[in-house]
Amino acid sequence: MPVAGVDIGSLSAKAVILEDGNIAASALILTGPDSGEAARKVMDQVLKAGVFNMSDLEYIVSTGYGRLNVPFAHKKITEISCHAKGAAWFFPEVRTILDMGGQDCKAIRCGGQGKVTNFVLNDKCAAGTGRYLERIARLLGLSLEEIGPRSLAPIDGPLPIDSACAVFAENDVLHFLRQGKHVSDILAGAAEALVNRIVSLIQKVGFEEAFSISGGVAKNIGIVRRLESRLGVRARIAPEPQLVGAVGAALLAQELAGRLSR
Amino acid sequence: MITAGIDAGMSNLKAVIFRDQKLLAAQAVPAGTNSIQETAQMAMDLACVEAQVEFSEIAKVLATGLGQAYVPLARDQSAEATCLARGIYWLHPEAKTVLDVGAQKSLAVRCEEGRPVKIRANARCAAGSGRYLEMAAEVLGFPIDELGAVSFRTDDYVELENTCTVFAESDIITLVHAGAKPEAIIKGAHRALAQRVYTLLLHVDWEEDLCLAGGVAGNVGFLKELEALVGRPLVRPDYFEFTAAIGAALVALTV
Repeated sequence: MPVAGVDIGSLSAKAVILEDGNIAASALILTGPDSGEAARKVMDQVLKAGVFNMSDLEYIVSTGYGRLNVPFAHKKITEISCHAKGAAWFFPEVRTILDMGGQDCKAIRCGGQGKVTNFVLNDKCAAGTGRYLERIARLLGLSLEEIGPRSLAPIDGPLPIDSACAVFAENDVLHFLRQGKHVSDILAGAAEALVNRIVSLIQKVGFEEAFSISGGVAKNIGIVRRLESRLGVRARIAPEPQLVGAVGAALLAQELAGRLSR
Repeated sequence: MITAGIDAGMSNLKAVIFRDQKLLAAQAVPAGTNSIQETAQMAMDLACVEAQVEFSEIAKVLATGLGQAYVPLARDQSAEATCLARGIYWLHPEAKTVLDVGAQKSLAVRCEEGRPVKIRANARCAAGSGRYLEMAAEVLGFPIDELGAVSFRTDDYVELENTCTVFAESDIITLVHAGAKPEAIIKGAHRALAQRVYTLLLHVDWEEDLCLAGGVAGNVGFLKELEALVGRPLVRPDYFEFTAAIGAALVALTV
């Protein structure tokens, strides 16, 4: 019987339905101010996409920072476990995972089958999360899609942008704009600042190959390429990196459903 | 000898002129969008008019503050802690500790007769500076100068859980949508900043008299919260926002 995973993040809400071990349907919407409503909406959408009814689902696991606001979930599991599970399903050889969303950044170490052995989390400071790049993109009037490629093509080289504080980084950006510096040089500097933060998080958790990136930042080629060069490895990235947590939640739902029926 | 001190802050540029130990002029110009160099020149020109001296009569100009390296009209520079200690000794000789809360950093200095003996700074995180209150004022639509008065309109506090200025900004928007009183949010923001700068005071083993300096000390709502934490009366001398600039002019006398 089909099962579902729902991942309510700070920026986007994701849902995945798993049937016979395959992804039967998925959905992604913006969370908005009310995470309970986002949970209902994303569930409606994924059911519609897969032509399922709520009653078809044997088991539902919720995860993400809004996981407590998913009334129809049978179980709530932390995103650490779900991301590791999801990443190991896409890439069984994975041992280190970086998951970076709009409001936090996690470095996770796992063994076989996505069993978590260690993790380090930054959810206290916007510098070192996707929010850092979001704010800089907004300041420059660019979309999130644009900033990755442009950060890879600096003209005079990356400019020094504060990596310790997202607010002070914005001051640096304004300062360089006023000096007439190239936008791509500013973006390159911001990407390097963020990558420095990420690398220190990964070093703290203890890096081991293979390496996977999930969450929205996996779609930023400027961050991915820089991380690969700093760590000296290729990153494994799922086709829809933002869905990895929801996939992991659905996989855990499948295991729990199996335990129930036994 | 006539000397001048410039405090190149991120929100205001302050220039003072001294004749020996006597303050002749004190002027502040908002940083705005001009270069630090231009703004410093403007503040210095105003100070010269107030002091009724020609710039050429000034024997030495010394700069301090975050932007000190960008003030070419000052030949010398000196660390902020040195200038604060010297400045507060002139303003209030009984001072043992000075806490400077500025637009982009905060600095606690324990001092002995105008010399710094223990220093603790926060210049890395906006949540420990006036920038945090600016954010709250912007989001809630209050002029920054009125935050203190606004916070006296209520006895309620709304606690802000996130330290990070960026995350706190989102929290405030959520709180307003949920019906929280803006005045109570401002009170919560004052208390949160007071708690963070209070840890700087603990690190320098603060002693009385405890003096306040820097632009944020002009906010009475913030002062009230800090005073409650410290549990002792705070001293805010006249010209408190010029403390570092005054110290710079006095250090210039001796270099």
